[in-house]
Amino acid sequence: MTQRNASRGNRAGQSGPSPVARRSMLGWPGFLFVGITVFLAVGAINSQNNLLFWVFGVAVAGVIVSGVVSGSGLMGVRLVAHPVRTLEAGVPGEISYTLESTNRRLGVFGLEIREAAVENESKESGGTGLCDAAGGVPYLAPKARERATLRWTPPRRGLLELDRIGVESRFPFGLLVKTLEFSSPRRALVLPCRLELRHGVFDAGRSGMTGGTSKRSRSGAGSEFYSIREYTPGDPRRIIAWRPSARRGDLLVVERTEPRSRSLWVWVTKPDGQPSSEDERCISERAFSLALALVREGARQHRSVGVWMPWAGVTIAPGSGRAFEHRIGEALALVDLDTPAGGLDADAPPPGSSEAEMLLIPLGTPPAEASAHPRQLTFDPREPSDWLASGAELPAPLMLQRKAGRR
Amino acid sequence: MTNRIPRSKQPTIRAAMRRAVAMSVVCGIATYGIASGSGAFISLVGVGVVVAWLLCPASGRVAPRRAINAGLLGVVGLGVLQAMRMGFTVDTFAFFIGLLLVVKLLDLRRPSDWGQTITLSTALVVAGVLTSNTLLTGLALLISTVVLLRAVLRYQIYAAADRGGHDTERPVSWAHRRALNRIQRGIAVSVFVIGSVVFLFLPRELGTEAFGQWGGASMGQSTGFSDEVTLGQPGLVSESPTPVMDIAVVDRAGNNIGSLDSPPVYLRGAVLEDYAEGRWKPAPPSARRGQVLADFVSPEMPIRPWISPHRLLWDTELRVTIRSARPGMTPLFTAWEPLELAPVRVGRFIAFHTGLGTVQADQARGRIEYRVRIADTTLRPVPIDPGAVRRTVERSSIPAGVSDYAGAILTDLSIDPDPANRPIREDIIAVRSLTNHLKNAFTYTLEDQPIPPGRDATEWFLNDRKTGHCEYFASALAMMCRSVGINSRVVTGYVMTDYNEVTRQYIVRESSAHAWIEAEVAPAVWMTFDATPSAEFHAIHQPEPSFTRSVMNIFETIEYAWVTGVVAYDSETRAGVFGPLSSDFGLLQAGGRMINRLRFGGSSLMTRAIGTGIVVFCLSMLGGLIVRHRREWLVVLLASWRAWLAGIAERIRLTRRPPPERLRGAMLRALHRAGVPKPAHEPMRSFIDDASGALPAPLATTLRSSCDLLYAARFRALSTGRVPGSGDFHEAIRALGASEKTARRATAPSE
Repeated sequence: MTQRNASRGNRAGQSGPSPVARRSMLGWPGFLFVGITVFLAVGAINSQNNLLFWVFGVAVAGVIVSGVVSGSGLMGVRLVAHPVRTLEAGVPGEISYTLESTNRRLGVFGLEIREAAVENESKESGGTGLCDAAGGVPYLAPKARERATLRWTPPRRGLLELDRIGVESRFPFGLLVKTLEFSSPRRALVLPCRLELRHGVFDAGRSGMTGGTSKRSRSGAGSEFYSIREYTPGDPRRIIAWRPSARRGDLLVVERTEPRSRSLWVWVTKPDGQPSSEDERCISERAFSLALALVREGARQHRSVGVWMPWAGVTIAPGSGRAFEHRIGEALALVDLDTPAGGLDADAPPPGSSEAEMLLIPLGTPPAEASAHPRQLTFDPREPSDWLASGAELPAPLMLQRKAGRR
Repeated sequence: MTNRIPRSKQPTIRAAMRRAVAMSVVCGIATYGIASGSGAFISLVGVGVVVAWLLCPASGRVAPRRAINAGLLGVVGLGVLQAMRMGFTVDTFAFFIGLLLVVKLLDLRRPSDWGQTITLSTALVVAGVLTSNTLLTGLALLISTVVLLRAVLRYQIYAAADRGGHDTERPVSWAHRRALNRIQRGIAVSVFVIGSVVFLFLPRELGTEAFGQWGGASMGQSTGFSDEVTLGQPGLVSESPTPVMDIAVVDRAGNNIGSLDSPPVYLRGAVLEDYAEGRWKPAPPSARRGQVLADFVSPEMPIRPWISPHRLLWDTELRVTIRSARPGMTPLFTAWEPLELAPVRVGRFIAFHTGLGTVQADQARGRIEYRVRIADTTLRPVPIDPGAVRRTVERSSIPAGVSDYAGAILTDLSIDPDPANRPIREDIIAVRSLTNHLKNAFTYTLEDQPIPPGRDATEWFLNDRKTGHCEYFASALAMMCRSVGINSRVVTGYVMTDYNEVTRQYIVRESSAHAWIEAEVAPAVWMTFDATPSAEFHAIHQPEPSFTRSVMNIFETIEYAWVTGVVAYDSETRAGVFGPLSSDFGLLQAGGRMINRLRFGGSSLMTRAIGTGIVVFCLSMLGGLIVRHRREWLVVLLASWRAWLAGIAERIRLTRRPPPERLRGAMLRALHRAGVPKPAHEPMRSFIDDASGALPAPLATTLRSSCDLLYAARFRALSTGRVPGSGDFHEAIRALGASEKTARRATAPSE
């Protein structure tokens, strides 16, 4: 999916967009400071202690100077948000920005950048922790640009619609928190957690599975010799077989084989109803992460892998390649457990599954067709020891609350 | 611009912050230590801070959480004990804060802990200001302000970098450092300027001491002076150089006549007449000769507490500034004989004793300025009226040893010790003889010895000890004078000897406290006599000039400027600085009247005032919350009001619709009155064409022409004629009205 970046003026030499809102609020140190200032004023008036009058004057000056310095510097700041790269749940990621100062003389210190995540399509807005994460730069010189990053570990997969970005500063005294808000609609796609699978997780010996790949050779860019034929205009010069061509006196090319593996279907069965607890939701998340891991493992073994989740509207025929992996990851990231898309018969097997191999991930009760498939491997998300690599641990977002609490 | 510092030595954000916070801690401890003069505080807290810093922040470690909790409990417990023992004073508060600082330095885990350290240092600085207003405290305050400012700026940058995930151990660029230093200078100057403006412009003497003594600080109190003398105890003895008073001496022409060589002036504070068991104290009011008179004295109307028996005019004026008087009735120190006394700049309530010549003023606290005019009678002959009778002196309380001693001295000098046989004119000779004897035969010492039990202190001093401090000498001379029938009294106060050539004023210090006597050498003629040996007197009160003295003089000059310019800045000074600009346009008086009304208006008025205040506050908060969080409500509300107001204005013709709209409205009303109302969905022209059969002919014609005009205005691009103006519309409306009238007349039933 193409990520849109609605920010304007992003080209070199142009300033970023102007802020859409300004806020200024007194932080708790500010309230404390005001209270102490009142305390000093009462003490000074009561005692006529002139040094105390001067200290009170300094306190008042602090409030005035704080507002002037923080406001005047911050007003010249502009922000351009870069498109957000695809993130993975449980893996620290970065959101990048470019800060620019239009001030002529005054630098800005202590800038912090915070995102305000808005309602996202998969309704995973609460508890992402994005609003608590901050990026920034300690100093932005006049007429200068600085790159800033916000480091954030997404706690769960999903799609976040990002729009408002707040650039705040508490400089110089931390009394006032002044914020400029910029609008830059972006989308942040968070893929399911990455899992490390056991070596040989597709091994034979488990029920109904015949292991290995079955080669049905066809002409391709493989490593094994297939045939020699005459040169056809358009053939690349690198496949010209020079010796046979010299012997024959005519241009010949070599054709090589491409191992054709049997397709794999990753079938995540429909859960029995919506998840009623955090642990059930966690099991579902594990299933999605496991599905993506199996897709990657299949791709690593040069196999075509498809994903079958008709109850969630994800039906992707087997394929290969990085773009295909990303497409599957995106589809899994957008699955909404609370309101699944549905559409097709949830129990229907994947098309052409009789010829393919089945990797079954049972969330609920698996349908009979799945269990009865002659070439199927079952990966129970509730039993990570069966498929997780030895020594590897589940990422924190996939750990059950009970076990997470013990940790 | 290149960075001259090697990269490996460039400070990081965190290192710069740590250094700044360390300096702020040092400044906080130093400021309070200087202000309080408490060596215990500096040694305990200072050493604790150094040890804590070396243990933890310097080595990058933090103490275990349990140790921190135990330390906090200990600090709180110590603080409570201290408060119970000494009360909740600034010293207790500073002690508590100091110990808390030590514990905090062991627990610097998060960025906010560094901020809390700065806060604790600031609290110590404020505690110092609450303790003392001396020059050194002021200098420490100025330095601490800059250091704390520096620490806060660097802490804010560090905290923001930490929150933003920025590497705080990365070296800071030269541009960053330069910009920060520049902005720090600008902020410091701005803070100083604004703070000074607030200091200068704030009105003084508002609500003074409404909360007791809270906030007050000492600035050289009039200690060292006591209105009681107890022999055998230190009493007046003090070696503290803390200034108490500043005195300028001028003659009748106003010329400053002070000098380094001028004779000492004895400034009277209390007169002690009663002696018993080694203790001198003031006589009870009933036994005192003379009376106390009290009056409000203004600078223009001085008092004359003493009518000089010499009938002299004053020849010297002392302009006295007591730096910080105690609250309540405080003595105004004057030399003998005070002929005239008046406060400076502001009137005061003054009480003076006609018999003793002592003066007291009712003072809240702080500085007192007054002038006293005296006449020097040292070289003048004692006026003795012929036939004058010596006043009888009560001699029953005089120890026998004293009488014998005094008698022996006078007998050796051929002066009759018996007052019945001795002429009055020889009394002054007798007193001088006794004085000289004490000066020559006795020695001075500040060391005190316990008085042997059963012995009178004065008698023991005269017969056995032969050495002592000024109180012994004064007591001995006074008792000896009484034993030979000469009335005498002990006077305590200060002696004025230390002259500063730069300020051209005498500085009276705590160590200048002294005791001497006044003897009645003739009826109603009192003279001052000091029996303290001259050599020691000069050594104590008139030290030889030296380099140290010169340096001290310079420092005291600066301190004098500090006291008069800053510490003593009050409403009169403010009026003198700003003149007419200091006027508050009666606001202060109005505020004072309001406060008095609330204070004396009873509980119901107070309740109403508080209730009103609460209601106003709640409404303001509600309004603020609505503006902040429900802005769209306001927008809708304002928009609806605007529409409503526009409708009202339109109805009462405050705003006029455009001419085409008015013509259209007139046409619709005409059709309605004609009984053929136009439906909203029907175009005007087609409806008029269809309804023309039901309309009177003139009206239909006028309506058609009006419709043409309307369409020409609305669809200008489609018309071929000229663009109609407002006059055309007015004419059309008028014509419409006329045709309606014609139509009504035509359809009216005929008679």
